[in-house]
Amino acid sequence: MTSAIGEMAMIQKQTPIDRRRPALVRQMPVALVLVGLAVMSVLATDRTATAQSILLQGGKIIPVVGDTIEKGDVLIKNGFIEAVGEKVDAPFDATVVDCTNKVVFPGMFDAHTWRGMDQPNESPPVTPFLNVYDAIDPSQLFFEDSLRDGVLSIHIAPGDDTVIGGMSRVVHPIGLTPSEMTTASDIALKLSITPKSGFDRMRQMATFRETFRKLDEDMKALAEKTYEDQLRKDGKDLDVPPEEAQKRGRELLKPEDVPEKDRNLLALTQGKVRAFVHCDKAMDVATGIRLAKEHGFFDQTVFVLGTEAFKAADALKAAGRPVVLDAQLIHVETDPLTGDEKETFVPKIIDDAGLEFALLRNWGSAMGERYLWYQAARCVREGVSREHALKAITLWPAEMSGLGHRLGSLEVGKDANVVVLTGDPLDMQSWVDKAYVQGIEVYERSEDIRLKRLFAEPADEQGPSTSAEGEAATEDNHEIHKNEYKDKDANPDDKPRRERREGRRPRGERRRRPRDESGE
Amino acid sequence: MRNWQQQLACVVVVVAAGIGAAGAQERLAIRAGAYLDAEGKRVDNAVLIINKGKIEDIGSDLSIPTGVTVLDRSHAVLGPGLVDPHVSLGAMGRTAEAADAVERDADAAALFNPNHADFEKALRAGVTTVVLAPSETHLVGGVTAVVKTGGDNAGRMLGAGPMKLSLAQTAFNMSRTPTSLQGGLAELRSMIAEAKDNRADDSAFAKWARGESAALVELSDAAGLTALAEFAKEQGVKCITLHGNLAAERLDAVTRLGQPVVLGTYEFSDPRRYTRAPAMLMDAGVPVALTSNAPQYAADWLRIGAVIEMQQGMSRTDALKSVTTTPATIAGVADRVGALAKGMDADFVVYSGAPLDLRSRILEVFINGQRVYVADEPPAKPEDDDA
Amino acid sequence: MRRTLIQALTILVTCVVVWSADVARAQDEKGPGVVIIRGATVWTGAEQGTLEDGMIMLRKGKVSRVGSGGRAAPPMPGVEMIDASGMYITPGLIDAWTMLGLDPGGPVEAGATQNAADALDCFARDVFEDARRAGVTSLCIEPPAISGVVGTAVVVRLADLSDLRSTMTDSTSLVARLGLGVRGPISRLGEIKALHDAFEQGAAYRESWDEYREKLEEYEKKLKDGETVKLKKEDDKPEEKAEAKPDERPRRGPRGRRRGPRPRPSNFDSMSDSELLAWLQDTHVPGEDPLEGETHGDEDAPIAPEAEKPAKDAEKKDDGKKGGKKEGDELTKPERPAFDANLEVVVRALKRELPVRFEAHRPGDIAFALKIISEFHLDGTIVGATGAYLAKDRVVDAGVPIVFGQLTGAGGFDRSHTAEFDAEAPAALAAVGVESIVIGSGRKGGNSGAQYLAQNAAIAVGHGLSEDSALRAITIDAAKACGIDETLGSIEQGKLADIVIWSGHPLAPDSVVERVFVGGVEVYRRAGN
Repeated sequence: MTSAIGEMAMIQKQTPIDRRRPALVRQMPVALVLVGLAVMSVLATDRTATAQSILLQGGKIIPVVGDTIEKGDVLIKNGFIEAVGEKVDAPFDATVVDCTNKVVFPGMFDAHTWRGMDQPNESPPVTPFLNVYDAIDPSQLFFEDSLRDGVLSIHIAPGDDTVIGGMSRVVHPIGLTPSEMTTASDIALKLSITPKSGFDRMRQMATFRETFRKLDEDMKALAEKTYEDQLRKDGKDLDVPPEEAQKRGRELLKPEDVPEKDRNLLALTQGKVRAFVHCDKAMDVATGIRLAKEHGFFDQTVFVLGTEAFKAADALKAAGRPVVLDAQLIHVETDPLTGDEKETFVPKIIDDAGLEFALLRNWGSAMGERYLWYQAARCVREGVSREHALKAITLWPAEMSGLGHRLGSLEVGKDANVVVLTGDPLDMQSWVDKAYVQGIEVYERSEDIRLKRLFAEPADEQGPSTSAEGEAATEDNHEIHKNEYKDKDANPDDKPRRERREGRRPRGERRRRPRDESGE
Repeated sequence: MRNWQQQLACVVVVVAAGIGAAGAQERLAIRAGAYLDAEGKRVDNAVLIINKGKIEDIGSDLSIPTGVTVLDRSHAVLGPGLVDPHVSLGAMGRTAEAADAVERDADAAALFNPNHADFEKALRAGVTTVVLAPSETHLVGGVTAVVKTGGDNAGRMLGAGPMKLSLAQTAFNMSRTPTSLQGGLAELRSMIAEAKDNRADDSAFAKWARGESAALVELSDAAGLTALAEFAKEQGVKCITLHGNLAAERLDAVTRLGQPVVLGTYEFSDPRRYTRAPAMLMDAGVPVALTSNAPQYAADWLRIGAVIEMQQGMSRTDALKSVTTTPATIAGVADRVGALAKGMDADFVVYSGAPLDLRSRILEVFINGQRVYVADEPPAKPEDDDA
Repeated sequence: MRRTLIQALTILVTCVVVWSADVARAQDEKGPGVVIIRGATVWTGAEQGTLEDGMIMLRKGKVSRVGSGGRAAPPMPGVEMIDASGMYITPGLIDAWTMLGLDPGGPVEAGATQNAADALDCFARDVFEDARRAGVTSLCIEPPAISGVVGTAVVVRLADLSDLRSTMTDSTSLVARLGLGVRGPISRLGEIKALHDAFEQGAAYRESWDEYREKLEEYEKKLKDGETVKLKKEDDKPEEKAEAKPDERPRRGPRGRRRGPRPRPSNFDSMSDSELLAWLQDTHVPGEDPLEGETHGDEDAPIAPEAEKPAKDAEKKDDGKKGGKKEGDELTKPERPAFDANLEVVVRALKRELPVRFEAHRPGDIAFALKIISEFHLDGTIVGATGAYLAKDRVVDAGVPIVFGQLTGAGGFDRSHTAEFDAEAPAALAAVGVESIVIGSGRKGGNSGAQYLAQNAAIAVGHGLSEDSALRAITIDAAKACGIDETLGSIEQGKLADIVIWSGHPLAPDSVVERVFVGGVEVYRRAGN
């Protein structure tokens, strides 16, 4: 608790790139202890994790920003990308990783999710003082899967059923505690125009108005008191009307004087904190824009859209703010007159409107939409340019979280969050071969215990899932995951305690399901 | 200037002169501004001569035999009494049995409660003949009953109407069999086979099974409609679909059935997706009858439903037919009610203007030549207009 | 006679000349072009009545000429000449009571801060298009909740459907409902009391703020004159008292009108329901309330002893703070009452800035709503009103507009609050002299009700209302009930050019809308026309 509060500073300006060594490097000794976890064991077996320099040699480099290099090198040093080019001279002590016939790609970025949390919601509708720090559950299978799927940055926002949720953060899917996992804290406040359960749209908006109005009233009272306290301290009499006292008091007000409960919200209205505003329907978009403009956080706003919201493309285009799209990608509606069903591919419309967008995945789906690259590939199939589709899973979401200077592309000076793929990132047959978070190798496919178990010959395996393993030998992700779940279902008592916990549906999921299948 | 006070004056005079006892009199003549003939055409200067509750003659400027009482309604228009092919007037909530899905020999005549206030409401809405039907919660609900909404109780029951079947969702409940559309159709199939074998069976169901009469079949979704069309063709039975509001989307199935359809209730709150169906079916040559399902919905919705259809593009004639002759045909009483023509029952409504114009007031309703409803209005100055 | 003829001719000539000049000028103008519609029967809804062979000119989004006759002018660029011979023209219809276009999702909640505009789905275009193709060009959309003060209504003009917000005015009236269902307070007594309390609390709140503002002004003046406030030490903590709720400080109003919650009568527990109802419904004119007289002789005294306490406590604290000094010696900062968003809205209604629509159906409920209207001097309207004809006298006396919904009952279901329903209600009220009778599509109209607004009005004609009154009920009187009659609701020079061309009489069953103009721009034309 103390830690969370300590980190809940009012204003988040990211420290410049030449800051400290990446957190993960400092935390490595801790990380090394974690052999118990499947993925961590992969990490632990690899000695290169402690090396200072790594040269990814001879791979096809897709840097997202800049041209693709058909065969080139990426040098990682002290957790940052030191050099990218056709031929990079490595220091003598660099670990050289042969990436011939492989693809080097920035770690993918999940722009917005409520996954990875234990109980994403609080019961009061307005909880800007909450911090996702307190809810992140590092042991969730979600993180392990994210790592395996090359998603190395995840923006977790508290509240999928709320008016004002709480403070979010970006994490990498590796680490034992929320602190270890944190890439950057205090990213954004989560707001929802779409009503929370038990609310209608009018109540939702009335709650916003009342909240901001109350904040305003409270701040005025606080400023006035601050001024009076100052006078009292100086032994002076009050000689100005309340309005003037408030004005003077506001200048005296120090950030720590603001009650903790109000700090995040105040920062929001001062435009110092980002807002991720959820607009499920098109009708919510204009409301969201108005709300953001009225309360001074429009320039910090990212709109998280439901599938139907594409109908407000004009308003979104005029607003020019980035958007996060629903994992479903296709909007289906029934014509009220004819009963005909009509499908619309949403990203194409948003792309045509010239907006920067992020794609989401639907983790937990048995379909391809659980993979970010599948989502990007669908966009390309439907006419979105390859460049934009790739940015929508890397650079754009990084920029939305204010981390565009650190993540999202292979550029010199950025954090070395890199994946090595067996093929093109938009190819369903590609695997993540290796993954690096802040310059440390955190994933190596050949050491992935879970995959090993799935692909093992029946004779080697003592587990109960013998029947499923023959077909699991194909390199088909659908099959693998299907079998894995089968495996779990087959003998629930046989699996480790941790897995059983994860098998449980996170709170809130069930309720959301009928509304949409997105990971939002 | 529409002058209903004047007409009311007539009404009052009528009351005063004891015309209420017109039924007792053998002959009665009514002079009206116009009437709607069997084709729905407006005929001006109407004269209607009633003899023993039947229309002896009707036409323009007919000469009235001497000694006949004449009512002057020269500012009014006469329209046929409306016919509603599916109601449960006076029996709401008492039309279903819970135990069995099949009530083969149930007879809706047992539901007839002639003095129930619902009939008065139907009269106010201009409805003179209705088909009392068992509920849609039975696969086979029984036989319907055709009754008049007012008049001498003795003459109100016109006889049995079509069978009532149901393939609606509510017919299939989990506490009995059948529980699904396929189970329902399978059950019907075996019942039909049995009825066909037993030639001696002259029940309404058996007649339907042998293709001698049609049945009303209630539907709740489009899938039922498609299945029913196939079933009817296979078994050679006649099915009049009821409440298939999505019929316009399965036009092919409806035309394959080759029978009229019953649609409604249409209210102002219904989307065009439903309300456009009748006009589309009429265009495709399928006769449509509207229903109000009174008293679940007010009986007034029958006439308003016809207006809704006109707003959706149906012609005046077709709209009138959909609430008069077509439902009368479905009820099997087209030779007696549904139109103002020689030899038909003298069931008619006196309107202050065009019958299907909602601005027109229903002033009086006659059944079998007897006045059974007079609009309730503040009395105006009495005026002699009797012959 | 001859003189009249000459005068008429002169006027006609002048008209034609002015009109030609207008047309000539129009050619240079941008924006919506000039539209001249000739030959139709024009029902203006204004002093001009019905014009045969009417002529209307629409220009700059407004009606610039209304008259009769006029010759066909030669075609000119930028001028559309429409020959509407045999057709009817009415103002765009106004559905004064609907819930069309509201997002269906979610539960419905009450509260003065609920704003129907927040729930309006601007992207439900087909719904709005359907309304427009039936000649409806403006709507007053109410929040859907069932009981109490449920929120504020929004008025939408169906101009550019892709930018509905630009022609939307929210918070046009406060909506309160009574006797519709069982949600909210369970008994009618509780419901009536809650509704009454809402306005009483608003009145108390308004007064506490008025009082504060008065004191503040005085205080600021004194500060200006050089007086200062001695600040006490920390332990005094004067701010904490600022939390006092406004409803805890009831006082009698300056004009002697009671502002706080009423005290319970001493025999409250033993009262029968009818006694309690009578007590609750009683008007609160000072001196007329027997209970009030009994309990409190002094008009200006706080009413309830228990309500008096906090005020006294506050005074005591004040005394303590002043350290025993004499009152008036020292300047103190006035206490700011707590802000309450819900009551702020109610106060707007109390100030008559915001009209209040009471939806009530049973005669008893209507009588109670009328009592609240008169007690709090509200700018009130009765909506729903299916049983209003049974309380005719009260309605006439109150002089409030009446807004009806769908004029045909639902039948066997949902008879609870519309049990007294009769389609003759509009005619019955008109007959006794109720001036403003409005017909909307109502709460049963759903998303399609506005399509049949004209036919709903026709039902009223069929039940005795005059045709002219029925047309007024869906145009100018509806505009008045929505507060938009300044610019809409009739065809008059200078009003906005929202015009409907009908193939026949607008109330006839087979008439269809040929064309719809909103702001002089054609927004609908029947296919094949």
